[in-house]
Amino acid sequence: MPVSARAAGLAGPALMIAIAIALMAVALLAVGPTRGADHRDSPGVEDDAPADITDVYAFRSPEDPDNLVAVLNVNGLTAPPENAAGNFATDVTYNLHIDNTGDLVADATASITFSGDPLMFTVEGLGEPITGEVTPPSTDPTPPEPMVTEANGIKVFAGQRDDPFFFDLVGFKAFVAGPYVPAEGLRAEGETPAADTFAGTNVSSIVIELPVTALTGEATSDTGVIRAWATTSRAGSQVDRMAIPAINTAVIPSDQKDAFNQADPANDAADFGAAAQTTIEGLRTAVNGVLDAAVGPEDGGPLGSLTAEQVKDAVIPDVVTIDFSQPVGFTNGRTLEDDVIDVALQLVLNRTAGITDAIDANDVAFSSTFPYLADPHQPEAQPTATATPSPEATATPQLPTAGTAPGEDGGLSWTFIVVVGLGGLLAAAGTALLLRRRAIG
Amino acid sequence: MRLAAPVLAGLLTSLLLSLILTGLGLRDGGSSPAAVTTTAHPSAITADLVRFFESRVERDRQDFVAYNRLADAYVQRARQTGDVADYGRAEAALQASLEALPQDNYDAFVQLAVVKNATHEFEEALRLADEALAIDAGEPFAIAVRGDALVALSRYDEAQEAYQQVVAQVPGLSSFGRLAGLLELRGDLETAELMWGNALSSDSGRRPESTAWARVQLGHLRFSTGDFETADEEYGRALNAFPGYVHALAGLARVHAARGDYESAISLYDEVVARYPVPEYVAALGDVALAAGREDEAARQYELVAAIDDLYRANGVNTDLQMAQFLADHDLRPDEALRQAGAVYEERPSIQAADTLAWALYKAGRPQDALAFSDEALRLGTRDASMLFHAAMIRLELGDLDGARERLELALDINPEFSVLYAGPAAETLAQLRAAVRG
Repeated sequence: MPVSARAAGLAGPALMIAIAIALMAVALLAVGPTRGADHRDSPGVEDDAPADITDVYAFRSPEDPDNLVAVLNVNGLTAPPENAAGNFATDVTYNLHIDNTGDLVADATASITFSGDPLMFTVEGLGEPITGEVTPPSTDPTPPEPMVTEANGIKVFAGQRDDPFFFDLVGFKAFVAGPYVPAEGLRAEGETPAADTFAGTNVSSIVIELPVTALTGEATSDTGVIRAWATTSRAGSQVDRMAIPAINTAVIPSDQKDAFNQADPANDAADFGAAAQTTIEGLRTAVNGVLDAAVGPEDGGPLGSLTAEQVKDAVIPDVVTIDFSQPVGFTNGRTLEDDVIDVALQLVLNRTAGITDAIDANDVAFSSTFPYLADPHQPEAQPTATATPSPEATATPQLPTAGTAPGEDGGLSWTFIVVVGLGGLLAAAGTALLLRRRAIG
Repeated sequence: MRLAAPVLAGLLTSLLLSLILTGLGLRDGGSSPAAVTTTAHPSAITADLVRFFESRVERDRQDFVAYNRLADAYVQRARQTGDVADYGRAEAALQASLEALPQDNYDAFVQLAVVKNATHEFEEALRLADEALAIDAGEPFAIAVRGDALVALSRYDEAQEAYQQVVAQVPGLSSFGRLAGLLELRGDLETAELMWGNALSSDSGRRPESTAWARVQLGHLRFSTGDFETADEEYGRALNAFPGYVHALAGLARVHAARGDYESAISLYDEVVARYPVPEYVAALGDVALAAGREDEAARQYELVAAIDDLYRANGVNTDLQMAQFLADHDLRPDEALRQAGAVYEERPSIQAADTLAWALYKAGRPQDALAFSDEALRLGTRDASMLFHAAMIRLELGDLDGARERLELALDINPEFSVLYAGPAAETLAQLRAAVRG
């Protein structure tokens, strides 16, 4: 006879109990945590958002045209409720590289690192190191006042801002996946209207303003050419890099994206030129197949009619080139206002007519003063944002229904739950009999 | 003919006596749960994220980015509250995402794989993770989720390979934590310990539930080796990271019970099952009540277990091994325990399934059949006192007194309080066996 745990006799108000369960039970899976339990789900793998560069901007300062403003953004698509989790990583080095001789090798690199509590930044590579406090992200209804550090004629800001990028990524991905004649922007007929996927979301920004001549080595701010790109690195290994917007997304094949992110511009033409050209040709063929009849043949992009090879040469190597003798704006640098997606798409597709994502401006206005990017979006004031909920508030009685639309209450009717509960009652009664039979003593 | 039958008969009588007598002594209670912080509670942030992305998809039914983020928020909420209806909502959101962007939608496939792992559809989870990897080869999250499915399907070598790859790519809490859990399963507690250290030292703290999860897992590891003090500390740290974290409260309850402080264990378990009434926690509450001499209370909880299980099954929710384990542990419906354990083992012959099946076979009076599954459960060298206890009792029943004694010694050496129900009988049996050898 096997060893037996002592089993007790049952007292009987099974009906009340079964109904109580029926009313209380949140339908749950077996995800118990003990050893010997079957299964306990691990959490999601951490994304590397703090090292993932979303955009790089380089433009003449609205406050002083002799200055260049360089912007490096990470933590893309931070939703306001999670603002507090959107900050820079202390194990990541954020770099802005400047080549002023045209050999695609950095002649100067501004390296920004973060440490301490409160979080401080240190900028190295621009003369004496500059240290200042990071503007802490917050979930208050009021956005934090930007903290600006000024030293040696250089201004630095690090903290959360509105994502200045505006782009109908949703329409773009659908259009690229299977080209069609767009109804509005890049959206197909019958779909919801074009929308800025990045509206209402935040990024973590590093904004540095410094004299143009400090970068070019020229006598005035109206001469000289620089090539710039940004990287992030961890323990000496490059994690990500970014210069021309959307180039990595649009023309680098997905199986080469990691290699591309870890590469140097000097090797781009040799390593990725052919693949990029193939992608551009493929995109043109696919789009022409749909648009030639409906819209007309290729009518040339913003720089005139360019072959796929010429476009490839314009976007590879992936550096932002700024010729200071020319007006600074995309593709000669990039201002916050530039509608880069339309320009890049038109360039790649060699078309102007009908090629737009229909999102022409940011969702909020930029500031005329440093750091120029708009205040971050803050969560709406809601009681749950600041208060700790009572435990009971989190467990509403609902049963799983796989087909439930998001946002709708997925519960089956109470009647059903109670009926099932009565089924449970019968089983409980059976259990009680078994327990009694097994009872020792 | 069993050699030791007369010995066993006497032994069992004393076991039962000891069972009746255990649980009366109240020992020193443990520390209370850690202080609750006053900042925004992580579950409030999750609730706000759900609202935020629900309004995004409301506005733009094509916004696959928002659908994917919404699904992630639902999964996070399910992890925090245990409301599995959120897995259904996540799945619906992901279907909408895939409708908006059927190709090149890596996030949707990987999140769908997460949902399928959570609902124990492991083959489907594996297939979806592979779909995600076909879109974005080498993405660590998809490899990790693939590994999770492989662990559940008891393909441990492949799972370890996957986890090691993820650790190399993203050396963080979730990757080290996964590897640590698998190493525990394989009995390599020393390396598992190191990996937990890595997991916690590389934790960014950006997801408090993940931090709490890791602390709880480490607490369980401490508990499984009988180190109640540090287990208690880890559960406290989990509660610091995520106030009210239900699995940490359950862990604390188990520590209190193991120390013999049944009253505080019961009040903690009461809080746990009020919010998270899975059969496992309800049964644990019953066991502690029984140990505390509250037989009526125990009986009520055991009734609840069966009723809850019926409720779930009526709704297509599979409580898997928990129910089989409960039935076998409490000598209830042996045929049903056997049927359920067998069904799970058939589907995925994991270590836990093999162990539960062995225990159910033993309880059904088939120790000879049980032996093979028990050996299979311990084939990786998992240092689990409960599994070793099962193996010992099976051997005892088959007359292998030395084999039984060795395993009981090991089990009690690993954790002398491994089970409120069975630690006492295990010690008693071992004493009897030693006496028998000497005599």
